[in-house]
Amino acid sequence: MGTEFDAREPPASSAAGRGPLGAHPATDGLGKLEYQRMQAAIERRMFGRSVKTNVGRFSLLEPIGRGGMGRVFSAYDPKLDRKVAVKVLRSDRGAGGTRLLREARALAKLSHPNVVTVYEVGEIGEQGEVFIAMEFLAGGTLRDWFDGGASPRPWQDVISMFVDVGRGLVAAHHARLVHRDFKPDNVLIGSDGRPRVADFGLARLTTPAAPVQLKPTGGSSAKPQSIAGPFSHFSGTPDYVSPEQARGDSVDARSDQYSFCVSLFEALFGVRPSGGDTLGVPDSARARAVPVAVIQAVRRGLSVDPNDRFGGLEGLLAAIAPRPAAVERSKALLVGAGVVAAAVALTAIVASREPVADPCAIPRQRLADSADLPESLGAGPDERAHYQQATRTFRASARAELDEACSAETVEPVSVDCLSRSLLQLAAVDDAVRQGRAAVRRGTETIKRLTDPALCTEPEYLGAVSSLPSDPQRREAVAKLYDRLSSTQVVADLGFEADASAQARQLLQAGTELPDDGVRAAALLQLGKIAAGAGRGDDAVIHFREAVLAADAAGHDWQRAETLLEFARSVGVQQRRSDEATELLARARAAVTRLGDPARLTIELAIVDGSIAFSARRLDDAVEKLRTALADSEALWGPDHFELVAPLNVLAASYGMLGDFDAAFVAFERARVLVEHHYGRRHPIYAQLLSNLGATASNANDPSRAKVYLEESLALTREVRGPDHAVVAVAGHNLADVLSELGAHSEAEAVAADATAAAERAHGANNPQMLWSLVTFATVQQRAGHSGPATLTAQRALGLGERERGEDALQLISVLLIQAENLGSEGRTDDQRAVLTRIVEISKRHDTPVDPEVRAALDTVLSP
Amino acid sequence: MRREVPFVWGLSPRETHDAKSAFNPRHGRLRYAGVRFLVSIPTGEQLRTDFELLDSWRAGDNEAGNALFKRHFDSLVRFFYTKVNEPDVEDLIQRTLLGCVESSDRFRGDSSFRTYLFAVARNQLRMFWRGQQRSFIDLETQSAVDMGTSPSRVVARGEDHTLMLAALRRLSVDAQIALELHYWQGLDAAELAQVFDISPTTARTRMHRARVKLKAILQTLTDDATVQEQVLGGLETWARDIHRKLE
Repeated sequence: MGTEFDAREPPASSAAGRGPLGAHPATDGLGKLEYQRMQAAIERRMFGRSVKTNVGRFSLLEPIGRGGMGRVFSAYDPKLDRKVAVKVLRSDRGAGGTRLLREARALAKLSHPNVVTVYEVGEIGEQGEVFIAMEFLAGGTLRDWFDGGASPRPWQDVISMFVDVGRGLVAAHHARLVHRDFKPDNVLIGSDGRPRVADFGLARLTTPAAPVQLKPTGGSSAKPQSIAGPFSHFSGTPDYVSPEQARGDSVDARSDQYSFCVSLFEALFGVRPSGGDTLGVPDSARARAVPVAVIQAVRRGLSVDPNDRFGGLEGLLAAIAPRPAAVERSKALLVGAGVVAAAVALTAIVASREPVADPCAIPRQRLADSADLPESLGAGPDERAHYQQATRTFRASARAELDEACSAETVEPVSVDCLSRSLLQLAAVDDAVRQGRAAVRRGTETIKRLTDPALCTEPEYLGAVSSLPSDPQRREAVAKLYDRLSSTQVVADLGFEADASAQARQLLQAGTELPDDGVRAAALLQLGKIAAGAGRGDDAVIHFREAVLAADAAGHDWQRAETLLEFARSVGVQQRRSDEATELLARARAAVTRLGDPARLTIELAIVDGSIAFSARRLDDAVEKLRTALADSEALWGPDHFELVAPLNVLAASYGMLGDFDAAFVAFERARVLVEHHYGRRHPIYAQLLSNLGATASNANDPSRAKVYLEESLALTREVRGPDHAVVAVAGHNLADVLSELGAHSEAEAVAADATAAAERAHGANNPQMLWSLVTFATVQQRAGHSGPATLTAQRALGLGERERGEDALQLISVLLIQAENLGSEGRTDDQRAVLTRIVEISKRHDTPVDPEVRAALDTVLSP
Repeated sequence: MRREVPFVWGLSPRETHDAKSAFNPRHGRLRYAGVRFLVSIPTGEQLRTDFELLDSWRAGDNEAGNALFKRHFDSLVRFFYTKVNEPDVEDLIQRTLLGCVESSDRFRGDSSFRTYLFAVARNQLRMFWRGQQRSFIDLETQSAVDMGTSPSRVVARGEDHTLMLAALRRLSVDAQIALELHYWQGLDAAELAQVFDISPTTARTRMHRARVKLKAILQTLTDDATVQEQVLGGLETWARDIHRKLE
């Protein structure tokens, strides 16, 4: 009778059991807020958690302010373990919170170092309340900065601060956002001293809670004359609001310029401007020090008629920024400040761009094969062969595309331009390698990452990546910037991140000043990639966000899709924030669809998708996505292409973690063969793949197989990185561990001793990094039955650990276990009991379950 | 000499909790080295089992208790919300958590923490009603409605949800628990047997009878045979639907 039930799989997995509350019939009707309140109440009562009200994922800590726009709380973001500020806004418009929410979300997309970063925007309940979670800044406001000190700030400091502030506003204006309530109180300063403009556009979206205070406040001087009567309908703060906004006319960015100048005037002279059109400047020593050019610029910005002001805030900033620095900057822009010779050479090539009658002539010159690499470069014959092969393949591809583009009845100038740029990149890499500035191996890798010549004849790529302005002069300027951008990419790929970053920043500025959103988008993408590569996730997010906006503004869909993919990869794989990554991925997918699903973007999408799934440990999902990516890659590039390495590697790791070791072996092996073929055995990836293979074998309980891989991995790592590299130590200890498991104790001890020595050379004998090495060494010695040396090594580890990590550091447990074991075998039960008790105490301190064997041992020792 | 030690050490090195030695907890020692995408394997709180967290909590560590609570709060809300009136849910969840701390390890070793948790929850439910009714409570025969839980309090989203919940609440409490734990929490017959402390065969019989009984109750609540089928089918397919929706 029970068979029917028995045969059925339990339908709900535990994951579904913990699915979203609202979706579950059992709890239909229990409101979300009540659910949260209940959870918070229990946590508070039972676990002493001071859980207060939650807004989104943020637990409110304490109120830090209440203004016309709503309340501000400090709050805790548990997901990223950081303090944030949460602003709760209320809209009393008929449409409720929806519009407010939509517009607040638009604000959240704005991202600039001088704009307060908005992390999240969301709705609270259904009363039209919206919250904005943003970075928490403890440094006070711009007003505190210029008003709070004992003596006034020197005008030079004021200018430099306001130029930074102005950049934030400019960024907003580029995103078609007008602040509408700019004043010194709305600029927050971080503990790093960097100012950030806050509360963009909110004045328009919300209704002031209190009636607008029209009387001049405190000791400040009279408000600008142009403000109408006390009943005029405007939002914003009277003293800072532009005449047109005060009248209730429609406003644009120039209105912010006016408010900016009121603030700047106040910061420079200690009073707000008065006197209508004459705008008298107070007669003080300090005021007299301010250059006339600055005063004139500020006066212009304060013109009653918006048409008399600067066309854009950039113009004002240029006028007030100190001259010599500006000259310096433009010079740096040309040469590349502090950039190594590699970049200088690139700039030289770039600078020689001249209009030529036959557009195909220049790229054709660059197609000539170069001579073989000289042996003097120090690279082995294999490495040189791989390099030659890569350059030849690239040139062949470029030649084919160029022939196609140039033989057409009408030469396709955009394609030729694109190919010309690709070949320029190749030449730059080749130069760097031949002059010994970049390792041959690095050169090979960089060439494989260059813009694929085949893309240059794909219309959707061209149309969406490098559309040029029609005005011939601007066109030339933009084209030059694109040339330099492509060289920046090479500089980055060759490993000169700092230089690439400096160049990209200059290009960003050039793109902003021009302005050209396409250039900005490309420069920002570059900056984002560099930041992501260096592990600076927050910076990467800032750049990527802005890059997406810029690509949007430029209408460069390809760029947009690429940026979103890099963005998603950075957030999902490096920063492991899988919810956000999924959202970004959805946007990327939409962008790719819009382009008509070009194969290489579709593949990249699947790889990123699979990698995010892997990082989030949705392994089945990862396997599915990556298998698709792999199949598509094979279809596009063939089975032996180096592009297959990335999907193969993550796929293999996914299989490995799923316990499907055979599949993991097959995939890792295939990746290994490809890396060997394309990059050679001396490439670091090769040794890492061997290490992965070894780990797989070890996890599959096949230590002898693991030994083979790990031995080779260790040998290669030592050869490529030198005997003193930290990675050598890790590889050595991994091998020692496997050897020890195989019972090859003396060999294991020798390898572990070597690895420990390598770690000492890499880190220094007293570096905390040594702790892991010593622990592994001691364990290997102990397993070999050499309890004497093991005790000594453990003693050393203990001393180091106590000194560097504290007396109750978790890392001490392993060495204490060895001590306890040896004390026990020597019959010193009292000492052993003390050590065991200490282990238990440390475990408790760190909520780590006490090792059952320790428990058992303690029981034995305590009750003889 | 090693044999004389009062305990035997495993042959693998203990986890050192050093960032460098991210051991794979499932299989052993070595970590995957990072080629372009690879990242180290997670360690720490999320890898600790429920029983480990419970142990730490018993030893006075509130953080561990809190982590454990967070893992199971959702299941507990679902368990109690269908059986008692809303204001009592919070109290019962709290009692269950305390019950887990205080009660002995009857289940340890051969059962999952969830089985243990639901057994404690069931017991707390019984004691709660006994305190209210001041009489013997038989969960095998009495229903939630018998205990004074409002028969149709819940305003569910869909008509069939309302009906399903109303019908479940009229089942004997044990029958209700059996169906809900199986269909909504994914417990199989062996696990249900542990929750009720009966044999797996009896658990299967109980499941079977509960389904028959549910069908009969539905017939008293609605004459529409299609709706009856929908509700019954819905109970089974619900989890799969939700799964699909999430994908």
